[in-house]
Amino acid sequence: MGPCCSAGVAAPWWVSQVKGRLFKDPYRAVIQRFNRTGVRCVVVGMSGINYYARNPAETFATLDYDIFLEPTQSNVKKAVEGLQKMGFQLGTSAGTFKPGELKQLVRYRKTLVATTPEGLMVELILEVSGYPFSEMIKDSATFTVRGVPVRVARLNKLLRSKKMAGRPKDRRFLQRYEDLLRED
Amino acid sequence: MVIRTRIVSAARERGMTAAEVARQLGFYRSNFSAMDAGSRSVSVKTLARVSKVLGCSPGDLIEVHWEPEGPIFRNRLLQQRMEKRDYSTPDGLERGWVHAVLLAWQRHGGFRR
Repeated sequence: MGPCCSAGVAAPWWVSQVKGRLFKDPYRAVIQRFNRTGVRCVVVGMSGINYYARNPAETFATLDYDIFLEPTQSNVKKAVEGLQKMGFQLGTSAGTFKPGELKQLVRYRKTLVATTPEGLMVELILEVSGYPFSEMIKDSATFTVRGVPVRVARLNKLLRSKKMAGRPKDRRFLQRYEDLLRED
Repeated sequence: MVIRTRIVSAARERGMTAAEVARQLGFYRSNFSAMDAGSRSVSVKTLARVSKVLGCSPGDLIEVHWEPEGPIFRNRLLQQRMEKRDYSTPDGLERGWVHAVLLAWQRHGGFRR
């Protein structure tokens, strides 16, 4: 996203928090909201791996931000309510998310996708390959983003999870990560 | 994921030997070793019987190792480099630039705007 909106146009919900910065940071706002409301979560996936990069050149392109939520109804409910208040639209693979579906969603560990009209995407994941939530969070690393603590799963668990998922895109990614480590 | 029992150590913690427990239940001592090593499966019924002798709950006798065995990368040097990266990040490390990069990737890669 570019700099802040021009005068007279209603600014999206996140702009006021980061006015004047080159990049607005909705991810930070989401994590801050989750921290404040006590949502138990940990960042996973490619976005999690990127926190371990030493400089921007070592990051990997990804179009979504994956947040692993503790798969309990109360926790997911808090997360959903928070995102809805922030203006996100929530959906599942079956279409728009309806509040009555929460129980089924948690039971079958379905993924929720939160999007904004601008196309920003945050994935709320209730299951990852190889590890339950308790294992992912127990030794997670804590990074900060301008004062907001962000819990990120351990690099070795994130990579192992990709290895265990074994999808072609995961195998290709691991190959690229090997190349990165070779240049280390 | 590896599931193992910890019958031998649980017996020791209670001042017994695995051989004594085995004798009481009519097992071979080697059965317990195999269960603890994860090479022999164990039924819930057997666990319940062992836990009764040891005076604990069956859950106390199970260990689940989520960490799969073996390194992620075959190359030992790369594995070491990855581990170093993993554990050399101090708590609270500022990573605001990661969000900036992620948002830039989105903008260039598929942001529908």
